[in-house]
Amino acid sequence: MINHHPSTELLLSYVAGNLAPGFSLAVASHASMCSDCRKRIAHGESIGGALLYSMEPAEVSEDALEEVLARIETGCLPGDNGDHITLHGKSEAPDPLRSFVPGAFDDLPWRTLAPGMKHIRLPVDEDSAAKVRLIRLAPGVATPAHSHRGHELTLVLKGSFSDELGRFGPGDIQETDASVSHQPMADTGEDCVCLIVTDAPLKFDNLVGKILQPIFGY
Amino acid sequence: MPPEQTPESLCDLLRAVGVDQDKAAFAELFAFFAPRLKSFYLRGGAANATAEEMVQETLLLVWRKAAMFDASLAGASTWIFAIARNHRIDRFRRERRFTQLEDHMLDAEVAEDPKGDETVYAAQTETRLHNAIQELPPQQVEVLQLSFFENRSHSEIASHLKLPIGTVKSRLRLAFGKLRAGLEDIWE
Repeated sequence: MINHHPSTELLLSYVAGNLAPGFSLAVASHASMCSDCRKRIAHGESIGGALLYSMEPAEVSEDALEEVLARIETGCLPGDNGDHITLHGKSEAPDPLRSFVPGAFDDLPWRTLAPGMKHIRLPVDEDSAAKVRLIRLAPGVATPAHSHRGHELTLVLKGSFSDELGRFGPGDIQETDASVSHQPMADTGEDCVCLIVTDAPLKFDNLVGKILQPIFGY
Repeated sequence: MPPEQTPESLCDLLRAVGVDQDKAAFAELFAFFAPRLKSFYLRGGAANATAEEMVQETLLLVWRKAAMFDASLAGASTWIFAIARNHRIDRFRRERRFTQLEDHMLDAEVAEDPKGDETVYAAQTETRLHNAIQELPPQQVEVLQLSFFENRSHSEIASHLKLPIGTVKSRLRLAFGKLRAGLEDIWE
């Protein structure tokens, strides 16, 4: 049962194609676990369609149609980035994450950050300040208390955590910004695995976190 | 002058392209969508020559993918909007895209049980949405358009309109809520 969904604003940004890749990945992963949000996305896309339908036309060059028909004749048609995604094998992660998680979470090359806390940086949007990573917390382990300079999206993939904002289980997504300070803790007997996307470094609230900052590399 | 098109006639044209590779139908679709897609890319910040090229590429993608179009799941404008949005993302980011093409719409689960004639359903949704958008307060339409066409983040929209970001977000929420409520009988 998914209780925490992306906000309408976040979902509309996703639908409009305005999210940075990591955030888009998190929303797409949530949607692949949540049929309600797949519906909301389809509705948003219909709004995009209606806006396109009533859009003020702009002038197109006179021979554009001829050029396009000529390219159809030659069979020289464009591909797109959606064409080459093939899925095989059984992954523990939702489809959009499958290329990073080919099998079980246990089989990933986790790196230890602190006792009971592991992570993997995913190679997404690496040229920007954004960080896209999987975090794994052992039962009862909490991250250092922190707040945010930018936005943070957390999607629970396995297990659950609790923090000042509530309890988050598989498929739940948490959106936080500069106004939120929290300390998520894995709250059941199993590890909690999350996808976490941030667009700016975190701010740690205490000395331990500040010392860990370079290691976290947030 | 190109003939008047309705969401229903556009669906029929797109199906004719998908099923029969009908070039006359494609030419009609081109006449309707090319000038709108051109505006879409221009408003998104593309230079004229780039926008022109992107329009052509988009319509080639439409030709290539038309067999996948299912008029019971999405109207023609919605389907082409998704292709154009993805094309814009692909063009300006080298990186892989994580919005899967039309997958959300092609998901059988997403298609609510259509009432009556299936093929009329998605086109009807578009017609009703089109009318419902006309009924929205102009400020709400403005933020929708800035968000969908101009590729702007909410904070960029806020500074462009000189409004607090909370106002931009609440206008988007209100607009989305009203549009969904207005289509409640078909969107459940």
